[in-house]
Formats: sequence, structure tokens, C-alpha cells
Amino acid sequence: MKLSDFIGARTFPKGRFEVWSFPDPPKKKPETAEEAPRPEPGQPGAPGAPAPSRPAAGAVPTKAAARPPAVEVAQRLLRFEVPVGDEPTTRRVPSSLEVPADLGRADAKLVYSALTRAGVQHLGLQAAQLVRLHQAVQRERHVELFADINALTTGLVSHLAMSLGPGLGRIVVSSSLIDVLHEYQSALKRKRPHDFRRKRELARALRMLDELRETVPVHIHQLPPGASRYFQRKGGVVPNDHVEPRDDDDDVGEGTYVSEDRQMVSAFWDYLSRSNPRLPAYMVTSDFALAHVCAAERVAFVFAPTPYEAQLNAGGSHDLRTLWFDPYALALRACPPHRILWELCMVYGRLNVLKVDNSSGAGGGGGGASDPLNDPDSFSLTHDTRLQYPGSPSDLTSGRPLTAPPVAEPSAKQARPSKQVRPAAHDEREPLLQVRLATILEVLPTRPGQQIDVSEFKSNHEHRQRQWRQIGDATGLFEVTETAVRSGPALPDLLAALKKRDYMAVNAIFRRVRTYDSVLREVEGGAPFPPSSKAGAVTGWAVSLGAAYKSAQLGTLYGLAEVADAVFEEHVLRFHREVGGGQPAAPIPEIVHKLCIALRISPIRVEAMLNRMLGHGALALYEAQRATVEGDLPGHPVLVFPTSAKPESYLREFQPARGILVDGKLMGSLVRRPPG
Amino acid sequence: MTVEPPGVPGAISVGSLALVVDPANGDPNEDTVGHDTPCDIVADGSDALKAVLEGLRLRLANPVVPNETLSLEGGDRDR
Repeated sequence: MKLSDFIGARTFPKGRFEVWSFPDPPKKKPETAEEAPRPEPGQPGAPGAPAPSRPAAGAVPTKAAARPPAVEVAQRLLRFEVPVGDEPTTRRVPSSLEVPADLGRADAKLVYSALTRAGVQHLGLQAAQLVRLHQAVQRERHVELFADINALTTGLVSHLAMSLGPGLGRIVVSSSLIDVLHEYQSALKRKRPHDFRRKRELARALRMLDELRETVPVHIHQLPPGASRYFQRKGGVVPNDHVEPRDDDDDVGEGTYVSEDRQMVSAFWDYLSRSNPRLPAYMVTSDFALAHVCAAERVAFVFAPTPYEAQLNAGGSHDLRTLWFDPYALALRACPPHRILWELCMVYGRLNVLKVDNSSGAGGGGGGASDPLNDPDSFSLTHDTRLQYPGSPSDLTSGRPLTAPPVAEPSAKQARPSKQVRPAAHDEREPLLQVRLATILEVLPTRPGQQIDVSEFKSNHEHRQRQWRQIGDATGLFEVTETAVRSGPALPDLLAALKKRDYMAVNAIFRRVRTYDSVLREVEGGAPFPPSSKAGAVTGWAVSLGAAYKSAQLGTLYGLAEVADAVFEEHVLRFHREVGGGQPAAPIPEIVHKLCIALRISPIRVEAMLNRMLGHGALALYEAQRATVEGDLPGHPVLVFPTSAKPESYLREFQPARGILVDGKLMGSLVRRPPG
Repeated sequence: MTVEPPGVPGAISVGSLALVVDPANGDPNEDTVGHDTPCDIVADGSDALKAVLEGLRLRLANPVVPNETLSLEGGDRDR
């Protein structure tokens, strides 16, 4: 089915929908448990996710066979609402488009880019960039765009092409970018699902060139063989840090260092010198580092951060708009859900689109809830890149929802348990803490007196619902009634602690949950964080609450030690000296990493302390400045003071590897000013 | 909608558009806001006007030509 057929055939009724990725079927043999991503504890529902296959009866259990089979977890990628049902010849734009806050960083990047390619307003494209291009069009009548691959994957080029219309002379792509897809093949050694999705995204980006050709010429600039001599690609390096270097690459070290930025800039100059276009040409990129290089080398460029980065920079206060007005093209843009699903399916391969509000119409006499998988308005989308003929429009298949195992969980409305329900006997063997913090925060009021519909709690599992109520009782943060989640007496304390960024006080509230407190006590004494099979979601809680942090090399580390201000200052001075080698400026991520390990404090606590102490006392001469840096500490969500009434604003995707927020600005360098 | 060259008084009134999208005066009708083969894309008229208004504000704040003005053609200017 082509896209136009899909738009013409699929009508959406009024209601709320969720889009779930559905794991790819195993290829040849099941992966080992170590190779596969483990399902997170408390993973809600995961509708339609396949169950682990069981060994055949009578099979001799080997050590390998004894391991649990690998299961790629179904993930909720998107929620949206259709305000009014479609009619046969009309389609509505969806409202309340939302990417779940608990979606991982890699997947969130893919989803935000897919949304933008589909036609959702680009979150990072600033008016000033458009003005520059339109001014050039007014002067010269046409401009050319020299596109980076990330400008294709993130939809930036297609947005610019739409805005410029006939003012866009042509789009130029370097032949080295076309080769990226082939080079990516060699990077797929670990068979991680994300790598395959990245490859699909790259393939999708190249297919977009065909779509762009419908409105604007696309030129592939052939780099001469000599042009790539300097950029010999070895060691499985792929552009834009999408894949980490492999330890097991035998050919690492044979080639020279590959700088994708250098290659792009040289390709641009090569294009100008050999083609000598009579039109102004602009490099288009979403790569922050490349934009810096362009600025330094006086390359005319247009930069917009990726939609994912843009929403991070906005602190979660972004608005995904499916209906928006381009004031420079003077045109309304509208994005139906079909295009969004199409783009997601191009990357994820298999999707379940589930209608999740199962009441049968407003006041419809009883309504009644049912399994979304059995809802007649739920459906699946499947796209197999191997079946696509290169150069032809993409094809996908729509059918009934993919349901490998019946996950027979009652919906929240049906199975709202009373407090008197006794736990089943097997529950005692389940992990101690099964409710993920993100799930709790999704329904935690952001101010006293606020009420949230109880049906917003996303887990239908009876035990988790019961534990959720118990957590509310223990912490005093919220009370769960039959219809609503109300703020509890301890909520003002939590909000005050978050406003002061006092994570000791924040944890004091959550440590009223005995299981969380007992694990923290063990870890504080030097024990490692227990695996999820023993402690459930505790480690995730600790990371999000600033009591722990993840290190790429050392796993999850404790980060809630008490540190005196004087000790902290002393260590900051020391690490600034060590990292900076005596120079005035030193990268903050490295300093933060050393502070975390030396003082046993989490990065978010380091950020809070630096915000409080920079410019004062022993740090009077020190200030944070903007800089593009990249450290080692992995990103993770952390609990922060909610900036809006929506519970989603409780979580901030913290990226300590890129710096810290000081007065709301991302800072990457700690600088010592000269005295006086 | 057209862009007037600098110096020509524009006829568009952002204030009047704001009145239109005021909830009290909101337009409950749906408008066709685009086409996606083979269907029309429709949206709430008020939402569409809000989007236009916001876009116009952005354009006026970031003009392509200094002091450029915008004017509506075919619209009800008295509204």
C-alpha cells in the first residue's frame, strides 16, 4: 500500500491513540540474553509484545539454553488524539501529539525526527534562519542548499524546501553522503535493534531525495577520488556520532582520523570550486559542531538543531504542532496522522496503532472498556525495507494489531482494585518495587489542590496499581481515590525541595518507601545496585531522584553522599586545574565526572551545587561559559521542579556529557577569570 | 494574502484577527487547511486562525524586508 492509498483508505474515529513499536521477529537464531536489551522493570502493558519463546519439550538444558530468551521490548512511541472522526474524503489533523517522557534517548531522537519529516512543525528551525534564506531569494531569485545527511533525516531540508518553494534552485548532496548507507552496513556488527533503525532512517533519508525531486531538482555532487584520500574511512566510524567506535574492530588504527565535519566542509568547497554555481549556496545542517566549523570557515550555512535537541533545549515545554503557519511561505501546513505513522513505520518496521479510549462514545450507554488490541479501530503497520524496490515509492501493509501473546490485562477502568484486595501468592516472588518512577510522575499533581484523572495511570497491572497507592500513602505525595489522583500533604515539601534543587530532601521524601530506603542504605555502604530482577525499579528511581548516576564504564554508582561546601569547592578547584592543565578554561563534563566519582554525588547534584556556589567564596573567580563539549556520562531523566501544570514537566532529560544548566543556559566550560 | 513592498500601508489588522480567535467570538466551523491526495485536510477554523495569527506575529517580528507590511486579499477586512 502506497502512502496515498493509506491516506485514502484509513479513517480515524474520534479518540485517543497510542503508537507502539513491535519487535522484529528473530532472524536466524535467538540472541543471548547478554546481547539483547533487557525489558525495563515496570514496563507497562507492552501491548502485543511477543512472549519469550520456550525451549522445546524434552530439550536438554544447556548453560546457554538456561538463559532467558532475549526479548526486544515493545515501546510506546507516541500518543495522539483525533478530535473529530474522519469522513470518507476528509482527514483531520491530530491534537495532543506527545512523545512519552520515558522513551529512551535513542528512540526519542528517531521519533522526533520522524515527526518532523512527516510535517510536524520543526522545533528547532528559527525564524532568523528562514529570514536569511528568504532575503537571499529576494536578492538573487534562487538559492541552492547543500544538504548534510542529518538535515535529511531530521526533515530540515524538506521544511526549507517547502518554505522556499520556487525560490529554491536545487538541492545538492555530496556523493560521500550517499555512501554512508553502505558504510553503515559494516557498523551493524552487534545486531542491536537501534542500529538497524538508524540504518532504516538513513535509507529513508535517501529515499526522501526522490520525493524532493518532485518539486525541486536534486543534484548529487561527485567527489573526485582524491577528495576522499584525506578522509579514509576505517574503524567503522559513521557520521555524527551515531555509533560508538567498536572495540572489536581489527582495522582500527589503519586509517587516518575521520572528521565528518571536515569532509562536509571540503565537499562544499569542492562543489563551489568545480561547479561554480551562479546562485548563493548554503550548507544545511543539524550538526552543532559542523555549524561551528562552517562559521569558522565562513561557509554560508543554515543551522537548526535536531528536533530532539530542540525539545531538550526547550526544557520539555515544546509543543508538537500538526497545524501551523509558515509566515514566509504564507501557507498553512497540516500534518494528518497518516504521514506520522508512515514515517514511524519506515524506521521501526512494525507498529501497533491502538485506540486506547475504549468507552463506546460519550454518554453511549455503558461504554465499557476492552483490550485495545481487540478494538476494531486498532491496527498494525508493517514495512519491510528488503521488499522495497529502490527508487520506487515505499510500500507498507496494514492489518489487525500484531499480537504475539495475549497479554490479558484488564484495563484501568475495569480493574481498579480496592485497597482490600489481597496480593496473590506469586506476588511475593516479584521484584520489590515494580512501579517505575516515570509512571508515578505521569499522574503526580504539580501543585497542591490539583487533581488528575485516575485513568491516566498507565499501568493496568493489579499489583502495580496497589503498590502505586501504597507509595502515595507512604510518601504523602498523592492520594488515589476512585476517580482522581489528588495532591497529598507532602507535595508542597517536594516542590519546595525541587525548587531549591535539594536532592537530599527530595530523597528523604521518597525514602519513606521502605524498599527504596533499604536499597539506598545497602548501596551507601558500598554494595552495588541490585539488578532489576531483585530490586525491580529501585535503580531507576535512584537515578531519576539524583541518588545515583550511570557511568559508561562503571555501571550505576551511588550519588547521595553528603558533601560540605568547602570540600566541594576544594575539589572543583583541583579538578579544574587537573582537567584544564592550568589553562583558564576546562570542560565541565570532565570536571563533573571527576567530582561525581570523588565525592560520590550525582551529576544533577553537582549542577545544583555549582549553580549555588559559582561566583562566590573560593569559586568567586570562576564562571561557566557556553562551549560545545562531549563527555562520557550517559544522559538520563531526572526529577526537576515542574515548569508547567503538566506532570510531564517533572522529568528533564539530563545530559551531563554536554554540560550543565547554569541560570537555564547550557554551559560546557568552567572558566577562571583573571583576578581584579 | 500578499506581502506589500515597504512604504505601502498594509491592510491586515492583527488585532482584528485576535478578536476572531477569541473564544467568545470563536469560529466553530471547520476549514479545509490543505490537501493530501486523495483527501482534504480539515481543521477547526479557530485553530487555523490561531496558527495564522501566530505565524503573522512571527513574520512581523522577523521581517524579510525592514518595515514590510502584510495585507489580506479576499478576506472580510471589517471583521
